[in-house]
Amino acid sequence: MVKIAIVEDEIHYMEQLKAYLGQYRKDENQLIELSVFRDGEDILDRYQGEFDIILMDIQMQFMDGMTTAEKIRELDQEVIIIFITNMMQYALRGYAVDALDYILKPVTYYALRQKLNKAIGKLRSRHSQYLSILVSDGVQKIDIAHIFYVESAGHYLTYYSRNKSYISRGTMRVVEELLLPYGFFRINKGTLVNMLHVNAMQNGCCIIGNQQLLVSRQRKKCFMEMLTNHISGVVG
Amino acid sequence: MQEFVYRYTVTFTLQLVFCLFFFIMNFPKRSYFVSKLVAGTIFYFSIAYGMLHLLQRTKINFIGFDIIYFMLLFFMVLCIIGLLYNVTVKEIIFAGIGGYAVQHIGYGLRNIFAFLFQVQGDFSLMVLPYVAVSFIVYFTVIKKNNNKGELKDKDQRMLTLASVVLFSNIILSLFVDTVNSVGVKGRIIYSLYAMICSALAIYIEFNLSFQNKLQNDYEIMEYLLHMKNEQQKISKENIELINIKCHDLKHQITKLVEFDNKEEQQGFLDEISKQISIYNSIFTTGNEALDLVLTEKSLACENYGITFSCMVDGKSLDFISTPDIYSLFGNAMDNAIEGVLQENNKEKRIISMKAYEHNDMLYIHLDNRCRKIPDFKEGLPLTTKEDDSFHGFGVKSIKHITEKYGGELRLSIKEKQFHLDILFPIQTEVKPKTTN
Repeated sequence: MVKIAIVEDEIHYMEQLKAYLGQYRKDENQLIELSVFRDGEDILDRYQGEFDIILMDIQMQFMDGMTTAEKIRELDQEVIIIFITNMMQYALRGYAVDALDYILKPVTYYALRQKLNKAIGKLRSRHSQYLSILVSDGVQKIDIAHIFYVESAGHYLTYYSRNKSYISRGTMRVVEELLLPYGFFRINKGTLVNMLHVNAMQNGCCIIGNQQLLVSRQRKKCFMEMLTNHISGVVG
Repeated sequence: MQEFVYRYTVTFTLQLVFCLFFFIMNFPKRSYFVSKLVAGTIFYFSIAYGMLHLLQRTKINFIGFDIIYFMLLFFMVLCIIGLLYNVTVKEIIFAGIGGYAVQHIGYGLRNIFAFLFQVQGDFSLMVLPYVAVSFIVYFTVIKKNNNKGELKDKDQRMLTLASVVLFSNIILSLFVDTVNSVGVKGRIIYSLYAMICSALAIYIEFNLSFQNKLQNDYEIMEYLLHMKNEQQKISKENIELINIKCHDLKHQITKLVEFDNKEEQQGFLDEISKQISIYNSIFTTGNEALDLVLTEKSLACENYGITFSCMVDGKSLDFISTPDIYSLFGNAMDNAIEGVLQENNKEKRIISMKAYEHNDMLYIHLDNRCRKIPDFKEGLPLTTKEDDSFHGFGVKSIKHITEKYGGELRLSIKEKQFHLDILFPIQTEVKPKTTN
């Protein structure tokens, strides 16, 4: 079930979007709960962060889309915003409000479907996940999103997060398999990194936190692929 | 002969390893380095002495065996380097040829001294010439080339040429050494010749053709960038002209309204207004150069019925020079436009561009619908046009610029969409890499 809000002041376009979403629901077998608003002020009025995706028209009569988006972002950093506009220049600043993308009017079903697929894909990979590891004095539960990277040495694994590190018995192979679906990638024989925390790529090393970790030559191409996939999925 | 080889194995190996040192000193090490080194050394000497024993038993005094023996030692040393360091085969061969060439120069030097001053088996002769030559080669050749990171990318043909020069020389040296009829003078002359040949091999490795080829490519790229820059200047003037014209037209139009027969006039004016507004798609990304490119390309898109959407943080592109922006985005857009034009369904003619900062990187993305799937070679798509003498340069230019700023380029196809992704590390100081 995906909760979508449409913010559009022109009835003609509103109806068109509703029709498209209806078609999308059928074609993709995706349950959609739809809410419609005629203006930015309306959606902000009793905003409780209950939407997954907001399709926002930029030029509206009372409060325009960009301002609305800015205010929504103050309250809700998670909701996916897709702008709809007929003028390029207004949407250029979409990145400033972390907009996923935008669609030009007249909206075609094809374009809408493309962006929606992306948005829903992103939603699916969102919930907080934890990893339980055996440490010397018991069990430690770590939020996977907080792990920067994992290093293996002999039979031990060291998990590095921002300020702490945890040592646990284990093999790289097992951890790699476990964390792969959460966007982790093995950059060399003994290091597994979290794409989320890759700061930059420089001189064949990936920079995480203030560490420079060597990416082995054979894995560089694959690493770049995963990194660009991650970036294009995360912010827009 | 056999006894000489027996003693010489150890000294030769040590000399070779020492001479190799300067070539491999920056190689990244693999894990378990020390244990591998120990194991490798044991294995190496076992095989070496095993083979010597074998040769002794056969009691054939064939010169060819000595040649095979030294080649085997050399080969084993290369294998061990491969075991210890995380580098490509080409890099190992490069280092191997360089190291062996240095050793051979040292050998020649040693021979000259030995024969001139009639000393043999002096310890300093086993060490000093090799150390001296190693350092000389290091300071004159290796150090200069290390900074360019070119040791990584060796031209195969040059490696082959260098090895032919070197090994034919080494093999002949071995022959000369074992033939007794060559006098002292002959040996000295031959040693000089050996030194020159080996030095030539090193020169070939570092300086010939590969660098020229690179220089060539570089010059072509710079020329194309220059051309693109000129082209863009013209476009800029054109656009400014159009802007002025439109501005005037608008004024004239407003005056026209004051005349009679308003309905007709109105219809006519609406028409003109609509046409003019096409030229009004001014981009304000925050980067002037990019605005220019995008404005020009969006006019073309409008013409072909292509929907172009973009989300760009122009400020994050400030570290890229203006001609490079023209070239990078100009070429990328040209390719994208060409790609979507193959799509007959106008609804599906979509080009999407994004550029923004992510952590400490600049991420640039461009995708377009692409029906014909091109073949890829070394990560770059081959042109699908018939005349390919100047085509395919667009993509090469994009790659050139990406590498200039230390970025990574990735071109791929996924579900009939062509994707262009570039990641640049964000530079606080503008410092593009130069190949010269």
